[in-house]
Amino acid sequence: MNQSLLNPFATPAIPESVHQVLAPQTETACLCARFNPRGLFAGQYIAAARADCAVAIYDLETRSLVRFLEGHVRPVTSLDWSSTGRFLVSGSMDWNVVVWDLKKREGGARTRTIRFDAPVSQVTFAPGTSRVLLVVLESQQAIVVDLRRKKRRRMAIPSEASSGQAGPSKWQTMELKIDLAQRHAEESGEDDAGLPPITAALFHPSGAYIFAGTTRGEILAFSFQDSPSPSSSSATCRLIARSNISGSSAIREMALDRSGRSIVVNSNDRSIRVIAIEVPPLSPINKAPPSSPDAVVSISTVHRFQDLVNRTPWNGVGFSGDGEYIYAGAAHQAAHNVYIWDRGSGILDKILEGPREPLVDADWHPVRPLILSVNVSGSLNVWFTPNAENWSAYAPGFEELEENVEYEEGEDEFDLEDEEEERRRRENDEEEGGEIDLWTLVGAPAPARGVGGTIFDVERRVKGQGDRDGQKMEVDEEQGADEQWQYAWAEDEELDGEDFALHVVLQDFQSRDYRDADTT
Amino acid sequence: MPDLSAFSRDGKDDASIPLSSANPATSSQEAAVSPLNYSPIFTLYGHTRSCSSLAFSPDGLLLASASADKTAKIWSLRTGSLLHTLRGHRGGISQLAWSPCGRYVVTASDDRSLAVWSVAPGGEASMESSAEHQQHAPSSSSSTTPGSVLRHLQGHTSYVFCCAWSPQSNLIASGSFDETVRVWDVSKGTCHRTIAAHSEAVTDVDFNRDGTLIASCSYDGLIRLWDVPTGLCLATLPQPASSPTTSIKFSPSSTHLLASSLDSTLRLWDVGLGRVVKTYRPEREAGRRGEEGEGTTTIGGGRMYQNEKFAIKASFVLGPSPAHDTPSSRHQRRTYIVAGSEDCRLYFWDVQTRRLAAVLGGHHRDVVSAVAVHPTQPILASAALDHDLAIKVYFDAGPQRSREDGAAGAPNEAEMAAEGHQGQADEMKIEQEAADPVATAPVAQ
Repeated sequence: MNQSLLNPFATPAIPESVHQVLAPQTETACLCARFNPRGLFAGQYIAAARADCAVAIYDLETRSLVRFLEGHVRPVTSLDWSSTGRFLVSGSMDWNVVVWDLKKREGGARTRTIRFDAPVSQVTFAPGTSRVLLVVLESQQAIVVDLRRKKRRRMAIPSEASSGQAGPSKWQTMELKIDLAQRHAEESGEDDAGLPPITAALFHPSGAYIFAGTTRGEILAFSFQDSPSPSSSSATCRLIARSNISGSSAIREMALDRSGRSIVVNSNDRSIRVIAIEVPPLSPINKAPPSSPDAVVSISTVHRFQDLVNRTPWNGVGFSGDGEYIYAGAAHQAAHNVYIWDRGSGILDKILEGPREPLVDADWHPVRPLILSVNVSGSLNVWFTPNAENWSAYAPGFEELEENVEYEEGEDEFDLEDEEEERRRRENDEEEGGEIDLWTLVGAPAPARGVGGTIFDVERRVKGQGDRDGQKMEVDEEQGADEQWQYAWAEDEELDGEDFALHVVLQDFQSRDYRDADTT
Repeated sequence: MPDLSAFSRDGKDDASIPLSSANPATSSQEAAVSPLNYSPIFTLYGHTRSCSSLAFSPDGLLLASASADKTAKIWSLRTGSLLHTLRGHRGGISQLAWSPCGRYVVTASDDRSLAVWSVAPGGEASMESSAEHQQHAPSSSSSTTPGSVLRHLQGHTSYVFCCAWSPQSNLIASGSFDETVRVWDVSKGTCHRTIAAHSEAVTDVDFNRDGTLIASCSYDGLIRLWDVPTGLCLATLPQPASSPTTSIKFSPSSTHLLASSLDSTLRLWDVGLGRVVKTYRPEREAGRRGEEGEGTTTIGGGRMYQNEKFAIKASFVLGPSPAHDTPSSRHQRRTYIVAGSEDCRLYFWDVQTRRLAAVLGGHHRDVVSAVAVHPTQPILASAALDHDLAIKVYFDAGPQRSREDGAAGAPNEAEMAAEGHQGQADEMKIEQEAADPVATAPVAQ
């Protein structure tokens, strides 16, 4: 909200130097760090995934630790924030994904734990909801997890007297997992080995498409159709486009810009590509992707960056908050560099050089020109350019001049002002001024739900019509008769419309040894 | 020289009518029935000197009051009883503020420091004395002792006059007579930034909705906007005639600023445009506009807002819903501005039309020094200076229900008030603070 008052020409768009270092008290490697990208308090918190199996959340302004989430037993490899900033999901090498509710205090923050068959390498929330996740495992599968569905399992009574009858049944909350490759194979009738292994995946901001990168350098686009009503079975995923972009080298990671029209791809051939994506618009009524098979998603490479001199591999790529710049961290062994390119022209704008330690991950602030980069030793470097003092802000008539200017008096310099006239004019202005809106929030950073809404917004509208967690149950044709799926509507904790801020907890932190992380 | 007989000290002229605009003597320019219909539901006694500041907690269950008697008190709105007395300051307290999570209260005091106190949410009445607090308190449980000092923020070199929490509750901004605004890091308890803000005492500070701007105002007649991440000045809004400005508040959308100054005027500034969009002047109830400044001729019978000496904070207040019993969005309800006046009354202006909408008088015997607005219910609280140590809490039951249906009109928390609420202007719930059972530990020097 201070953006409207900041002079866009005075503040540089690219950060220039390191200014602060947040070092954790105990030396532990940090594998991933993310700003909270959306909501009213976007960019004020940094979540860091640590090798000591915890997730630490820092406050950017005070450089101090606000939350410390313990629960994993192996190093945490990946993190994502939900759209309101209230939920955090973390994936770790202990084959688990944990969803944390940051509104609760330390002990009860862990909301859901989901087990998989392999270590988790990447996890993200689906846009607009905290109940659907996209998980990429090290076994190179991409799985969409739907936490809204509950499975009810019938338990048979041990005694044989009532054989054939259903025993008492109880609800077990189990998630619905959709393996993209499997689902595609089932729906298209192809062989399961038809799709190459997937190494990176992300949701389009509308939630209707999933883009996945494979070990063979292809990008696959799936159309994801959610099914909000309990009467149909689970969501469907269909492969609708496939495009090879990087020869035969595997894709390591992908990042989307805020508008959803470009993806930056980091692949094993040490080059970064910017891909332009065009998707057909969602149907405005129920926000479903167009179901006709002619719906075309076009994928085309726009730019390609590589460092030909040093052949550096890259770690941590992405777009700047407004999408104007592309950044990438260079994974040298003995240097800590962040490269910044201009998106329109593809020209390298800046190389930020930091302390001599290899870089593991980088993230750009959603609003301000500020970059966060993570060392292998776990310290977080914050890069920004300090603003120069604007002296003309101290009085309305002040203006900063480069050099002496000869003052020229205006014609009306010494006119006596008629005060009555002045007052009457002001009165008139106020009388004619229209209604003032004192309640609508304007100028806030990017809306929490993304431009145009997401497919998951439908569930809020349909919610009123369906039954609330009780009566309707549908038999999922894939499961046997013993198990039934029931669609449970999102509970209240999900539908927090408010923008969430992590409030300071004073006494708790004094009792721990986790002191503040700043060193300045 | 103003004619003081028009301002009756004991309010006898309008004691029985809570709603002044129903006075038929006023001109037809005022609406016949004002939409605002506040009447007192209880009175809280306990302070021994004038009350300087009142604030409702964010969850709406507690009321905090700060006083020149060096204490702050936390009252429960459900029962009207005193829950905690926050003792420890060595000088009178000028302002207090609740943290957005509702667990902590910061007080700004004349002993040049601020203190962050822990208050049990929901108004639990337990109060234990704590021998030592802050870093040395071993706490196995995660709860804090209610009423204890958690942080003592020292650094100002003169009286601290105002304080505000940032919406993320990680920072506190405070303004002082030493002409600076300090931003404090709450969890460390240290000064995060010192801003040389003005050339006179800083009288009020406020954060905007996402915590990126601080607005500060001062007796030098300037309002300045500061960028929180960098501490730089972003804009200066000079008040006309450099009139000392005593109160500043962001609108809920943070696009406008309400500033009140010591020439008895309130102004609504548009932050983006940097100019005044509405002015609220003292208006004689008879419809004639009073002239600014000294030398106002008072024709007896009308009441006029006056603020020329004391720093009284003004707030936004929502009017009632147009249709009763149905919740309506904020956009459908009219917004008003409420301010306490030196003639012992509360004045309400309609934000859009700039006209005086209601005058609430007859409840205080001294200058109304503090007004607080409840976050969700149509409840107000007001307090006055030394000659009147009562804190009054008012409820707006709606225009049609004030006489008949008192029980249904009362707020959910104040069940006791419903019994007595039959349109009487007198107080019905009085709480005496007979003895202070617990002495909380003194604030460490």
